[in-house]
Amino acid sequence: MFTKKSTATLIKVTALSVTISVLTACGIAAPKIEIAYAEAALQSARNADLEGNAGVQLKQAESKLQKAKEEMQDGDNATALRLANEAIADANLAQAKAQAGIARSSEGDMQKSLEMLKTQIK
Amino acid sequence: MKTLTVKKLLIPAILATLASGCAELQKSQSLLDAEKAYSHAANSASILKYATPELNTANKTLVSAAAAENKEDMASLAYIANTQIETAVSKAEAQQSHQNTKALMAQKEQLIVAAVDAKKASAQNQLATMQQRVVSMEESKAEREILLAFGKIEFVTGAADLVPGAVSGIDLLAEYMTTHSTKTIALSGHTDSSGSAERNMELSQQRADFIRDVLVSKGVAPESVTAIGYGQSQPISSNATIAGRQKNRRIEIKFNN
Repeated sequence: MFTKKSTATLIKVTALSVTISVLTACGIAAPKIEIAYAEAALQSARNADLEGNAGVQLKQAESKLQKAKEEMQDGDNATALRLANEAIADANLAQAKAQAGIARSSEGDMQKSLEMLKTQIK
Repeated sequence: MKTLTVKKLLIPAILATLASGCAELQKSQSLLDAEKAYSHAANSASILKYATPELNTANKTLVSAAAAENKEDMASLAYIANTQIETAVSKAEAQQSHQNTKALMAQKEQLIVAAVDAKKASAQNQLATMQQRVVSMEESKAEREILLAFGKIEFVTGAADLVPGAVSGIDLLAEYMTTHSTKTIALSGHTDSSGSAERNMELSQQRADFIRDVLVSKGVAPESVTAIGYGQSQPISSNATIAGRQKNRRIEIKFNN
C-alpha cells in the first residue's frame, strides 16, 4: 500500500506535528517565580508604606497579582506572566512612593524644627 | 506547465506570509508616551544623580517593548516601563529629600553651636564684668580705709617724725600697693602756717618723702609712688586754732588709677 518513500514522508510529517504541538504547549511556563517575586515585592511595599502614601499603587499591584494568579490557574501563562511583571513594577513603584513620602515628611519636620529653633534663638 | 503555475503562485504567497510575520509591530501610543516620559526623566539632573539604575532598567524595558512580537506584550512592557520611570522619579525625590534633610540638620546644628557659643561668651562677659565690679568694690573699700587711716596720721610739730602709733595707715597702704602692683599713688605733704613758709615747704617735702621711704622699705615699688611737698600753701582748716593747725599738718594720698 505504502511505498518506502511515502512512509518516510509520513514519519517526517508526524514528527514535525508532534514537535510543533510540544513547543506550543510548553511555549510559556507557568510564571510561578514571577508571581512569588511580585508577592514579596508587594509585601515589602506594604511594610514600607507607614504613612499611607502609596495606596493607589498598592491596590494596583494587588489587583494585578490576583489576576495573574487567576490567569495562571486558567492556563493562560502568557497573560499571567505579563500581569505578574506589571504587579512587580507596581509594587516597586508603591515602595518608592512610600519612601519618598516618608523622606518628604522628615524634611518637612526638620524644616519646622529649624524654624522653631530660629524663633527661639531670636 | 500546470506544476509551474502552482509554484509561481505559491512561492510569492509563502514569502508574503513570512514577511508579514517578521515585520516589526508599529509602536503603540502607550509606548510612545512611555518613551516621551523617559526622555523627560533622562533630562532631569536629580534623576540622573539619584536614580540612574532605575532609569537604565526603564530604558531596557522600552527597548524590549519596541521589539515586542505582539500587541499585548508591547502594551504590557510599555506599562512596566512607564511605571519604572515613575519609580525612578520617586526614588530621586526621596534621595533629594534625604539630602535636604541632612542640609537642614547641619544648619540646625550650626545654629545650636553658635547659640551655645554666644551664651558662653555672654556668660563669660557677665562673669568678667561682675568680677571686675567686685574687684573695683574691694579696691574702693580698701582705698577708703587707707584714706581714713591716713587722715589720722599725725606728725610731731616741726619734724618729719610720726607720732608714735600712727603707722596703721602706712601699713595698710604698703600692703595694698604690694598686692596691687599696677596701682600708682601721689603723696602730697602739707604743713600748718607755724614757722616760715620756706621751712614749711621743706618740711612738707620731708614728710612726703618720709612716707614714701617707709612704703618702699615695706616692699612698694619706688616708681609707683611720687612725693611732693606743698608747704603751708593748701590749708584745709583754719591755722588760728590748735585743732585747725593739726588738720593742716597732713599727708594726702591720691590714687592715680
